[in-house]
Amino acid sequence: MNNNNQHEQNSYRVEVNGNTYEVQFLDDGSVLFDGKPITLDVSENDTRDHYSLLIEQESVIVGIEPLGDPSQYRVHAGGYDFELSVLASREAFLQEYLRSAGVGKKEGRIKATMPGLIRKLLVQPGDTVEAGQGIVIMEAMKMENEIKTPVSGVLADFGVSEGQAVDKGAFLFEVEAS
Amino acid sequence: MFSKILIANRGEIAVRVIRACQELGIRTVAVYSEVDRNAMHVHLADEAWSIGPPAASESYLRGDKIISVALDSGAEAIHPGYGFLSENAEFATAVTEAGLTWIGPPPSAIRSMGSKTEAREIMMGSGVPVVPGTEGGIENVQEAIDFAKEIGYPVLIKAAMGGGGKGMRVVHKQADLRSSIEAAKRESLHAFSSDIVFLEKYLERPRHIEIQVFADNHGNTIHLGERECSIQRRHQKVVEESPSPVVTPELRARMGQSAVEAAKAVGYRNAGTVEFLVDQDLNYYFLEMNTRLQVEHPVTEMVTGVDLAQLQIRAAAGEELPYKQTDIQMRGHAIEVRIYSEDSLNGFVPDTGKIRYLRPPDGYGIREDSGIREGDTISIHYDPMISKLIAWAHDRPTAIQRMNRALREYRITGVRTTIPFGRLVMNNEAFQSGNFDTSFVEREFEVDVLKARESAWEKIAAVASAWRRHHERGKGRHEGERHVVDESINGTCTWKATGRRRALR
Repeated sequence: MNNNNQHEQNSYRVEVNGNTYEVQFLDDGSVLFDGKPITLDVSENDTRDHYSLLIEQESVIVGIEPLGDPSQYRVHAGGYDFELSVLASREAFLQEYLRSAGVGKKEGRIKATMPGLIRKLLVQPGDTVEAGQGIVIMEAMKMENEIKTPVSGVLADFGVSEGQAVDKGAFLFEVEAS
Repeated sequence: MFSKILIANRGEIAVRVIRACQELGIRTVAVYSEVDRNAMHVHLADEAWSIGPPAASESYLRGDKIISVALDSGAEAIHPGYGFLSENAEFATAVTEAGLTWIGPPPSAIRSMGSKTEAREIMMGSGVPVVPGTEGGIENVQEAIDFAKEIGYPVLIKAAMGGGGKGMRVVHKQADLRSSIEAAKRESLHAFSSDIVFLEKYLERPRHIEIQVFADNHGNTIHLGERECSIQRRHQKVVEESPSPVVTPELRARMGQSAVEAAKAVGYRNAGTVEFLVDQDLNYYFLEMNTRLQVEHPVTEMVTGVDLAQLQIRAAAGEELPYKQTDIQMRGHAIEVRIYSEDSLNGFVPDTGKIRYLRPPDGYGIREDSGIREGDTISIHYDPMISKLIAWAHDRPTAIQRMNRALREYRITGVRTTIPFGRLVMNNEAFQSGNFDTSFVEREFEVDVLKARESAWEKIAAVASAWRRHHERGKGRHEGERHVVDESINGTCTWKATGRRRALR
């Protein structure tokens, strides 16, 4: 393994709330944040999901929860929550390439984010729908929630029917983006 | 005084009542559904009895089972908490008919206040101001359309038997009225087994301010000041405080008097809350009366020094109120943040899961009323509110900063919570200035705003997540060997030293 390769492997691109940061862990033990050297001391302290960080001597406790995808994390810091995508630079390069090739356009396939009961389907397959339009009424925790489509297009398919109980992650509907 | 009380509830309110009982030297009987065998209320109570499957309709809502447990266990009284059977007049009646004491108001008062239309009529009759609206339930949609035209949009559709924001819809234009009425009826039918909805004028940007009242069995009724509950999402409260930043002693006295009259008009006993909408000119209108202990009762307890849960038990046992109206003084300021297992970054959708790690804050002026512990599972069966954090201080700005500090300290993983939301509220200028109303959340908390955090914390999160990913990718690839640490170059980088130690184990 040559140096260049290793350097790439230890470099990460972090995306959070539309911002991108680059974090590099160099072989000499130093850490670069957006190219700038910082001191970092991490201690696990045997508390589940939690780490004590000293960043430039600033002492913070962060909770780090891995989400389903190995590159996705939810971080609790300072009483705030952040959802971050962390890609090694090679993965980031690949993703960019795929994106420019038109793969993985905005997802029109919607899954249930919580378990619940399908109360009503608001459109028919084949209907033209607008981004933000309500497609399904789902009841969860005794509240009715309207599940909206994030993309405009044609309603291709429903994965559920009225009155059906669904688990978290169940396929609800798909919109073919126009 | 009673020697044994059954608590017909679960979660933080069951824990709250159990604690009140134990401080009074009363034995406690918990009831639990199959999934709650290891819930906090079961562990804290002196006795615990199983009452059925997880679904509330087969356990915590089964009044018959609960009453037979009370009789079998030798309990003398039942405390219903809030939610579940607390505002069910039939249950209250059955409890009394079984020879037990109901720790709450008379069933007739629950019934009168439980029907929003009947409550309105009684209030109008006793001179308490109400918001203009339909006399009874909406019979047909055309009638509703005509009425809405008359009083002007926006209008509010409400379930007659509703509560907690369920079955409620705001309608801004005629085109949306029909579908909203249908949705409200559907929701109401499922939640309250009644599809009666009515319509009233929707006050623009009102504040929600409520008065705590208390009546004993000897004809004494007092109020314990107000709670400001305008910070709501989906018409449900998330942050409450006492006193309200806009209520003057003069207004408090007037609203308090109206609340006491409202309570007297229905022959009220025990703890209750009269909710008012307050407009920009500080006119107030009766909204509804909650015939039970409220979720947000701790803020009143913190500023008045009155233990409302204990007082409920004493009053139900027939004791006379130990306070006169003039004894009730408000001291300092208290704020409560409700902690829901909800994703506040994504439209407050409920989240479920196992609490992997939990360390709540403590320190001067902080109180937590929680119903969960580490290792507990938050299921879909019950309300997603898992805990309440309360801060007290001598004044409002100090209380806000104390709450802010406590929320920053709060550590919980396994479910998403409204803690970040609470933090944003505490740091919000409109909240800090006291200049806000019930539209606060939709005005100040667009999704983008929710996601745009203090960039300092975002950067820390970025470094932490990159470190974790790096650490995980290195596992099984001899991380310790790959990174030769030269202490002379960077002696502070102990995470690498940690990595090496792990490799040596």
